[in-house]
Amino acid sequence: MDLKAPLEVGIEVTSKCNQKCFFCIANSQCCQLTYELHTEQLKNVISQLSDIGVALVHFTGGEPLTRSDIFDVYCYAKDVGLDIGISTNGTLIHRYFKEICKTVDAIQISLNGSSSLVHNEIQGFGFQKTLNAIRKLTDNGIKVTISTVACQKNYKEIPKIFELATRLNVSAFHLSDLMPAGRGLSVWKDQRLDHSQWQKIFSYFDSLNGSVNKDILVNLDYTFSFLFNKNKNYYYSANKMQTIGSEASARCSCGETRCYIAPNGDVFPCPLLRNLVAGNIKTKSFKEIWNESTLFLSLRKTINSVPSDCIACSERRYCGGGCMGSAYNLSGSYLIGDPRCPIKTKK
Amino acid sequence: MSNKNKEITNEVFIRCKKNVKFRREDFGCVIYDRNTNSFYSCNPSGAFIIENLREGSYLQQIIKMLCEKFPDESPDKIEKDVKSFLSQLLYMGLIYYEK
Repeated sequence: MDLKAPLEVGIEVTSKCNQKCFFCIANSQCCQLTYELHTEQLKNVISQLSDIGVALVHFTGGEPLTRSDIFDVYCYAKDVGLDIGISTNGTLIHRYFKEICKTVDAIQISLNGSSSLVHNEIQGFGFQKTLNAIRKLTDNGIKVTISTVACQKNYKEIPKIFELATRLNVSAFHLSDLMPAGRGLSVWKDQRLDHSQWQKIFSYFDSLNGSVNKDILVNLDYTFSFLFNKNKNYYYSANKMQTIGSEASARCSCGETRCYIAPNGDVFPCPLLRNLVAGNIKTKSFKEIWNESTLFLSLRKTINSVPSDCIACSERRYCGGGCMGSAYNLSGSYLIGDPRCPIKTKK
Repeated sequence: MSNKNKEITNEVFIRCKKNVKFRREDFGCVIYDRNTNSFYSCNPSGAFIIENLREGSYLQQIIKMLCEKFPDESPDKIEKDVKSFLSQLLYMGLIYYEK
């Protein structure tokens, strides 16, 4: 299925971050890189994305709010008609509060613990600042999504994090899996949750059975939840496109429905595949990279075929072979099935 | 707006949710749900239905237009197919309806 353009593009506006999460898939650093795209280059990319019909641009990093021009760029993207998302750790929101209230409809904030002990152990610092920021934003009618990466350090308090999210009146709670990329790769074996722990998390949300505020959208983003959650309660995969009327699900569609732009202008399919660069927007147009890069063309072929090691699997229609980024980072090839698969690891 | 399990009848006025974006493609269309960050694709007939819903057409108008577009197809079957398609959109939270 060839799309005219991606539906979503993530722009890593900087690699600088004031925190240092131990599982950061972007491997963010405390310093800004000298070759990062400057304001006008970012605006130029945004114009190109708007012109080819991209629906959503998501600003990420690093910490986007470490860039002093971030709301200049944000407003520009809004003016050219794009939907915009922004992911932040929340610790710098006080600097831009007026701008945020004027321009931002929705914002995603990382919260990885229900207490400063756990949150700060994971992110370095900032629990109280982040909480204050979330309260202030929701009080002012801004839709906040709390984003939590599930790992061994916070596994036991995931219910408490969710309870905190409900008390903070956020719009959505997004719990995702610790992925094997960036700093996450070296801690992945020890810190990821196993399949049975994810099953317990799903059971917890099932047990709430309507006792929580229905206005909170709960997204539990675990690739293999279909093994115990066929009706897809709470489940979505941000990386897939589903065909209406079909139960079949393609493999993760990075490079088909979405891609990313690195702080230096490199265009790549997914944060887990950042070493695979399709081109650089300083030297080629985005459209040219999207349509002609051999990497994207090859990935699109891969997405639509089940990996040979998954062909015999009765569950393949639900995952299509899983995450190509995980396959690449854990085995060296995105052509094989996702090595994290609980069916494979049981064998 | 949670009316996921209700039946699509001729008496309802169906609308696309504000958080839902739509883009025409050669194979039909893609739909993007901003709330759940989910993407969907559908064929040209699905694209036709969604496009007309977004323009404010009523269910019966859409069925009539499809009957004109596919004169060899039975109107009853078209109506059944349209309602089935809309039920799926409703279940996915992409549309809602008002009496």
